[in-house]
Amino acid sequence: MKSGLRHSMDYLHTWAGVLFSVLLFLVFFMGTLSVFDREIDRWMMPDTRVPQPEAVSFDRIALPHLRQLAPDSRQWLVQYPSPRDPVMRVGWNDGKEFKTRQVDVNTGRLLPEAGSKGGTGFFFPFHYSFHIKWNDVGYWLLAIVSIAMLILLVSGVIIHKKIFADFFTFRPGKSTQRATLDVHNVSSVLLLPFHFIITLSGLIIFVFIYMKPGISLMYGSEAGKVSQEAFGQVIRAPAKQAGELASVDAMVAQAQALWGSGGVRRVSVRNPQDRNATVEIQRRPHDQVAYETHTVTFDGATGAVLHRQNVSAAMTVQRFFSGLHMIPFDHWWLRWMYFAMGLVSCVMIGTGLLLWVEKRRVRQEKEGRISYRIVNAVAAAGCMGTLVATLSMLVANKLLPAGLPGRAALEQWIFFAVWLGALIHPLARTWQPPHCTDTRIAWREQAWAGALLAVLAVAMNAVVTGDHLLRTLDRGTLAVAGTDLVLLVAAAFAAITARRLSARPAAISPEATSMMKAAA
Amino acid sequence: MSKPRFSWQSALTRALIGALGGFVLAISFMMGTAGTLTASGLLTRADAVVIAGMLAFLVWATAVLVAFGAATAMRAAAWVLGSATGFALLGWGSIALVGNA
Repeated sequence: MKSGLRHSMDYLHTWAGVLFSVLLFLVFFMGTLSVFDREIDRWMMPDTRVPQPEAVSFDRIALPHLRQLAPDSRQWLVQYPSPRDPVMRVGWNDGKEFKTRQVDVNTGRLLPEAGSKGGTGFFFPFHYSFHIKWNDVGYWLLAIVSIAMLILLVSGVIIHKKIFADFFTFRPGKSTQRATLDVHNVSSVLLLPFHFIITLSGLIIFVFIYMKPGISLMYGSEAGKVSQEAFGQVIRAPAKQAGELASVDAMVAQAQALWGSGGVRRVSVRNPQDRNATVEIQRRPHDQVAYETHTVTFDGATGAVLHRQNVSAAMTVQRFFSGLHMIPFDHWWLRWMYFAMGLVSCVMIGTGLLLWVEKRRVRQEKEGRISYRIVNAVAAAGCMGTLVATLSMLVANKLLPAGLPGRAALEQWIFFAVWLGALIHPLARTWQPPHCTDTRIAWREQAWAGALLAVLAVAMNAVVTGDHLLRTLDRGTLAVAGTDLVLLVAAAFAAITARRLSARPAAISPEATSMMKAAA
Repeated sequence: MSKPRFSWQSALTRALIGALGGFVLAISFMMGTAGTLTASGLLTRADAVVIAGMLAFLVWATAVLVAFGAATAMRAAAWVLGSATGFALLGWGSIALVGNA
């Protein structure tokens, strides 16, 4: 391979890494949490810790609530309970925004406002939109970050002279920097297929957003038709005459008979009070990788089948990649593997940033430059600070009084406020003599803060909800028990990291310098 | 230590060629490929758009790599924008052949 290309790719890898690592860390960290977003919901919304329902009825449970909550809405959406989510979610568009409430199917009772966005309302949207809704800026930021990830992966492979050897190289007993490089290399090489597929599939999910200009060129003025054609949707205009909805439970039974097996994921009713109402029933894709819902559309007034979705081979490929990314299937081992691989990705990104800082620390100090300190502060806030902000949000979830107006938004703002604090903290440490050259102080202090907050979150959950670990394990409330256990493991890891960072800060050894030269 | 191969002006130019030019290339690739697949009758319009759209992400990423791998920024621009023009012409021709229907 030409050394010129390798140097170009090294340059690209280094600087794209520095510029995008924090955003990439955010995407991967929030994506990792989203693997268990429903379980985090159970932890953050104690009212939803209800038993799995035996049977679900739209007509008896969802319909009365929707008629009361949203009589004039043009669309009702009802998310059926699943093994990961025992409550029913009823949702409607009130003309301005989409609203949801949760229902305990066992009692038919509408649960009080959750007062929390939970995993599905905060961590998951953060993963794909950064909570920036204006003009789809969040989605486009994600596209740029994802393309950056793809080029980081390819350029990372090109600059590796010894990719096979790096696969087996880990020297934790050596200098911190050598160990950091080894962790970065091993985590990158070992999970290269995962990194590549998860990034590409993330882009493919939003193909209809990112490729909108191309779609407009292909479809001309009919660009809106593409999703109708691709997904085989049936959309009827309202007749503007009052109509009565036939039994949706009967339609569900009919859809299940057509599918042969499987439960309902979601029921969507368009123009529910109109004679031209339609009811779309989606199958829960629990037994397949592809996010394929086999939607059956019924005439709302008569209950007759209007359309049975049968997506094309091309769309099946798109749905397969979507499923590969979003894990709709029931498979706990694979779900945990995704979680573990997501964490390894976070480690890969974090260690990459640390390498950049460590490589420049001594040289820049000699030259009187401080850019490495700023990058270190941003890296600390972006990696450890994100963890601290997340844990602060979980603690706030237990401390804020129930029924507090704007409680869910307040939780969210606590996350952002702590995150901002996590940026100010390392910046302040950076300019605080005499340890301003020790880049590890801020990381260490934030790691301790993370460890304490994680333990505090578990303790607060036990005190406030009464669902301590022994009880949840005994009762089989595994969503809550699992979240508590992961928090305790995170606390242990944070404490170990903090202790390791407490070791004497060292100047770069000659051995590490020669190793860096070799790596470059 | 990575050698500072590019000046910041060159790096910025290449980044713009890769990111913006790459996106233009991806869109024109999508149009050219989807148009050709539709015109040849191999796929329906929606299927062709989905298949070409998925592949276009790889084209976009490749454009960034080409932008930084090329010997000069001018050559990078020529590669990326030249390919974009080629695909755009292909797409324009095939769409003109079958229309937007």
